[in-house]
Amino acid sequence: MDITRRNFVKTTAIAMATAAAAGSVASMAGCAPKKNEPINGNSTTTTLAVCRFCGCGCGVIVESRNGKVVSVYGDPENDSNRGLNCVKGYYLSKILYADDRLTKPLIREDNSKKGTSDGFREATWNEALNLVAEKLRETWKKDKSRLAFWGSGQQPILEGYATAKFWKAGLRSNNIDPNARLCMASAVVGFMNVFQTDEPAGCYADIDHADVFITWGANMAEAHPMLYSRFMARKIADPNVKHFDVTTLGTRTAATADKVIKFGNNGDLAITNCIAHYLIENNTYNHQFVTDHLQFKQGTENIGNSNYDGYDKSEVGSKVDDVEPITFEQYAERLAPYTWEYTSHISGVPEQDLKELYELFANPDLKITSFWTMGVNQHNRGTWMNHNLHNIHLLSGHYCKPGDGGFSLTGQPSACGTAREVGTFSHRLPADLVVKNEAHRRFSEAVWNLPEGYLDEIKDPGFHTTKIFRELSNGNIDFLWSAHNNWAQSMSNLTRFLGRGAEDKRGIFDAFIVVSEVYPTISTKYANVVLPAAMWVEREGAFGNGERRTAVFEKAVDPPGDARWDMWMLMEIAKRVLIDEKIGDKDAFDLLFGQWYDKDAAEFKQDSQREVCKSMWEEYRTFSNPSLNERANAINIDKKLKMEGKQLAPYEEYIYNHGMTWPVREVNGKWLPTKWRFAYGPQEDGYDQQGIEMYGEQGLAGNVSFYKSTDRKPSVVFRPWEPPAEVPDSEYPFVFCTGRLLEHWHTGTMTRRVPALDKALPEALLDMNPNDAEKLGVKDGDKVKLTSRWGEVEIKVSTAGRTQPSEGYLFAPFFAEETLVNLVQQENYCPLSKEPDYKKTCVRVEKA
Amino acid sequence: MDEPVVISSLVVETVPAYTDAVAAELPGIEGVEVHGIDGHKIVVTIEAKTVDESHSIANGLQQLTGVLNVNLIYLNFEDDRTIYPDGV
Repeated sequence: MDITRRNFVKTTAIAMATAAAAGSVASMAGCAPKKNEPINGNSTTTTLAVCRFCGCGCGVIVESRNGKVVSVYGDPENDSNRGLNCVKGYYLSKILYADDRLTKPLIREDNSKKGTSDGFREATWNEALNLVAEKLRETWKKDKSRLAFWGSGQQPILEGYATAKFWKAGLRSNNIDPNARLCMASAVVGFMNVFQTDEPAGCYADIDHADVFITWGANMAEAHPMLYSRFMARKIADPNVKHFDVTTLGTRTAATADKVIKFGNNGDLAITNCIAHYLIENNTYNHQFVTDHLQFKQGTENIGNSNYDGYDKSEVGSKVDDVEPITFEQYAERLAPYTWEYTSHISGVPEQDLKELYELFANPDLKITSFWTMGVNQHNRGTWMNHNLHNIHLLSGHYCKPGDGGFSLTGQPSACGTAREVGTFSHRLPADLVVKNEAHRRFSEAVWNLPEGYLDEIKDPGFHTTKIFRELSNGNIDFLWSAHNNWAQSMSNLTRFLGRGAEDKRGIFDAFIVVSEVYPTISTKYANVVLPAAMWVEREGAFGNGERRTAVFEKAVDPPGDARWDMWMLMEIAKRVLIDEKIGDKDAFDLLFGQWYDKDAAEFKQDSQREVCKSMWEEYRTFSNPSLNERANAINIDKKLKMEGKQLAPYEEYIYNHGMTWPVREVNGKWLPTKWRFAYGPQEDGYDQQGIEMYGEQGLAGNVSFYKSTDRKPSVVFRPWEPPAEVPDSEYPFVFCTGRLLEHWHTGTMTRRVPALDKALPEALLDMNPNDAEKLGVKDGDKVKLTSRWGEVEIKVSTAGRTQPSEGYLFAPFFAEETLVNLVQQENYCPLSKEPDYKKTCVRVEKA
Repeated sequence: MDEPVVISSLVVETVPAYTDAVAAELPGIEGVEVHGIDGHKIVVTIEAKTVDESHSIANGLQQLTGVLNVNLIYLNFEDDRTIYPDGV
């Protein structure tokens, strides 16, 4: 770089950081290219993007020159992060450029080498697509219960939309599920059961208003660094702001908390019920809020555990969703056993700490923001625990005000936008619709221009994630296609699912497996065909983050070699599979995708990816703007679906505004986001004015109206304490928890290709309490064998690791392919959400 | 003066009582320059040969006593020869 350019770049860098430190978006406006003018010299192209990693969904601006990305900076006009990025931003650029990018389709020639990276040959796209389509069509025609697609919360919104449409309307199969099942499903079922609409009511700006933060099973300092930074800024701005960390483990988040409340034995269920009990017992609940807004229920209890194949269809397993109405008084009676003493006994938390936590909720003047994530969701009673968190916020009226509410954090960049909003789950249709509801099927048929009744064939949900892999291992799946995930590392009980256990569980070796990927992973080792994909800003896409913000990332550079856009792969496979198929009297492919793809010319009809996305978005957003489609609109009105509850704006608005949180409302020709759902106030200030005027009621407690809920009343469902699926005993005396650490994102397929990160955290270590290490006679760096009821794995011990487990507890991250910790992970999920419990498998430890 | 250089800017957030101490310590780290202080936030640039080196330095800042958080604001890596051996 010559001196002039160096000075220019440095001056720019300083100016942007100075503006970001000042913390005012307005002061940074000069730096942010609203219309994408380059700031880094005239020879660069500036494009809008969103970070590729976690669910924070930070906006970034990408600058490229001569077809190469040259700089990245935090987008000051994206309201989620306001110009800040965590240090992962350093390798956003590098993830595109590691040496082993997949650039050619691969076909496995030698099935005996499955499970290794050998046995492949390079192929042309035509060969690969023909083979994939032939296998999919063959399976589909023979027995469509034997095919499955496993997607992701990293799949961009429209690719998820097109995949779901192909699977549900094209193949009429519900065997499609995302990896979001592994992280968000319990939150989803919680929101749906309580509010009848998914996703948090609040937004990240709640952080700027809260008086108290409570983290529940959430290591935000490592897993959501940008939000944690905003959280710390709030604490520094007001020293009276306090943070309570409710956790099973010492973490970096616990290290900065004002109060750490460590519990065990599923004690979180008891703690939340204890708070609810004393809110009622001491008459400190919010009477008006309860009267105006809440209804009470109880559900099926003593639901056992799902750690065997027949659970879902067992007597209790088939009734887990049942609920019945109860009175407020009956609810109070159900809570009565949760005294300080009983709760302390169950959870191991001192009574005084429980009282402190209760006092927060009993104080109507405090603004309390609860954050929760995987410790709550990956739980054998994950849905129940989500219920209980909503329950205490609702009973105390701490809900739907800025800084005052419950907020479930998300782990992937588009778990909300794609998996949850598009509905790439085995039981869902777009925009909170579900397959089993007749009106929902009629509405979807209208938007997709299908004959009435066409979707009745998919009225029963398909296989959820664990079911897919159980059936794969049982030899009952012949075709599996996965994209944007790494199931062979992230699934639970890998001993079984990788065919390393009993000999009759080796279906993975017989099934035809297609993996769309950007780098070789352990999942590609099990593939029969690998499809090389364009990644991140090598194509246009959109993500929906944890605060309901939809944001577009523009194409900045071309993908390497023959890597292609996933949307193109999908169109090419769909057209082959649906060849000569009819829907009514129309060609099936053309009816579903003909607006965008010319199957004969083998190209998109629009001139650019932008135009393809814009056109497809118009169809997708019809689900939440039913007035765009006469037939859908009539069903929306007749069946009172309130589809505008999730209203989305035209595509260009997301680019112009650097992302917006739904519902997005048109006010005097201008599209405005909603930051606080169900809270009445001016739409211009981010309140849900239009939604409440359309469907809600004004003048109720808290100026809130839960207009999407049945009878406009969210359900407080009593959910009792029940024990973990496994409790420590003499054979398996330790509770083993897995999770994520700052340097490596998920299974490390991107972050481990960055040498600096790999050096910073080169291997997965087993964090252990020093007293346990002493008792076992092991020291740091010693290799031990972990054995559970499910499998075994070798790993090195650390007593000075990133987490500080209490005696009897262990932690290890799951990023390392060579230390496949999920080999020991129990095969057990929350019976309601079907989300696996990754936090408390019981193991024993022996020196290896 | 045409040495390859990766330039990044950051906002280092500190515990307020430690802001001055951190700001005094930062210039002693190779490649790091302090450009201003705004409350508990310090505006910093890092110059290094590669993105990896820059990241290592940034990660090091995270370990300093009194540092709460390190936010990356801007990163230019057109000169990183490990990414672009022949330049851009």
